[in-house]
Amino acid sequence: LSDKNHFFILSLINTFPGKCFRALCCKGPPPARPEYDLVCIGLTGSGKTSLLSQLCSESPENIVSTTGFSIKAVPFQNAILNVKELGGTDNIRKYWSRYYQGSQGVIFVLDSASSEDDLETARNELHSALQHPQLCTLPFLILANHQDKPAARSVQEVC
Amino acid sequence: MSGSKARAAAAGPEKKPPPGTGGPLSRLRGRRGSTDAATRPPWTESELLALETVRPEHVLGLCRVTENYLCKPEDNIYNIDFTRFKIRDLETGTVLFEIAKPSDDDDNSELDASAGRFVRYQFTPAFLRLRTVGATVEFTVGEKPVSNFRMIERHYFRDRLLKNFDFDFGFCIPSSRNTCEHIYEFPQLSEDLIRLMVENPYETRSDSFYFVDNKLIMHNKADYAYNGGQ
Repeated sequence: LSDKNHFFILSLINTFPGKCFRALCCKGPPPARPEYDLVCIGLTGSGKTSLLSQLCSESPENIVSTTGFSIKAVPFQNAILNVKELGGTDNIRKYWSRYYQGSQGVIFVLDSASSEDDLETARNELHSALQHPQLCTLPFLILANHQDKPAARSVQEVC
Repeated sequence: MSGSKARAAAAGPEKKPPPGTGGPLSRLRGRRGSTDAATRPPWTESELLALETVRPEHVLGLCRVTENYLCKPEDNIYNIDFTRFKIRDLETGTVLFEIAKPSDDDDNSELDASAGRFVRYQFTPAFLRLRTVGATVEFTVGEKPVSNFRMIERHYFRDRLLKNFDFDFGFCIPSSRNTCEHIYEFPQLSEDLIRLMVENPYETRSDSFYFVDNKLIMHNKADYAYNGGQ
């Protein structure tokens, strides 16, 4: 893993406490907040759509598998993150690189409780992203999601 | 469906772009400066109707809403379909408005081709006092990949351009369903203008033009009333 990438490895439970994120979301005057363009990738079922919905104080019900892109503007107190979330099924993944240009950061979500095979697939996808010319100098946030599941590997194990 | 409203260049002076802009995703903000009539010859509708192909630069020169559609329903060869539109108030998180197309009814697809090109909205006067909303649009794409999908939406009150919104979706995966939410800051409207807009329902109108590879493939219209609940 290159030094050029900054890694923040977090473990998050699948359900975010409402309080914690409401504190981050701005209820103040209209923004002159800086905006950052991010791309959010990971295998299908890892929790990308749920994560972004929670950050936007939206209901996690009625979430279906993303079959294309889903662009969301996520407001925070001192910034707005324009996140382009991409579906993680096999047939969508092959198009991921079409959306990398112009990104300023990457969020990679993985299911900590997935099978060894799926984790291997996730590892390969992460490495491809890390090495992609349009992403290789950007900060990456890697979320080891689904920590509330009994089969979840700890952050250390995921690394 | 008329597509989404977003952070856009209102008819007025250009703002300095905030840090962190430049990538394709910063187009959520819309392109700036495209309302400047001084740099663009105004096109008339009849001139555009005579053209073989309508391009973005043509519609950016329109000074008022068109009387006619500038393309036919069958020009939508990529089978792009708008399936959902939602507005939420970003200061409270409340969903203010949501409209979704019922799921595929192949029997009705012939009938819907033209009927789906126009939507009439009725909001309460409070709508014009909103400051920041998130506008989400959802659309599906047919089996052909779409290499450069762009929307230009122009809102007018009578013959005055209120706002031009220009957004590049870029590449769309074949057979995909995509959503896009923009943060939209309402343009500053004077009290007089607000009053006029409330008192004159449906004289606020919009044209939404959709281009693939810079060719017009779809044109939707909408009109708006702000006297709901009165």
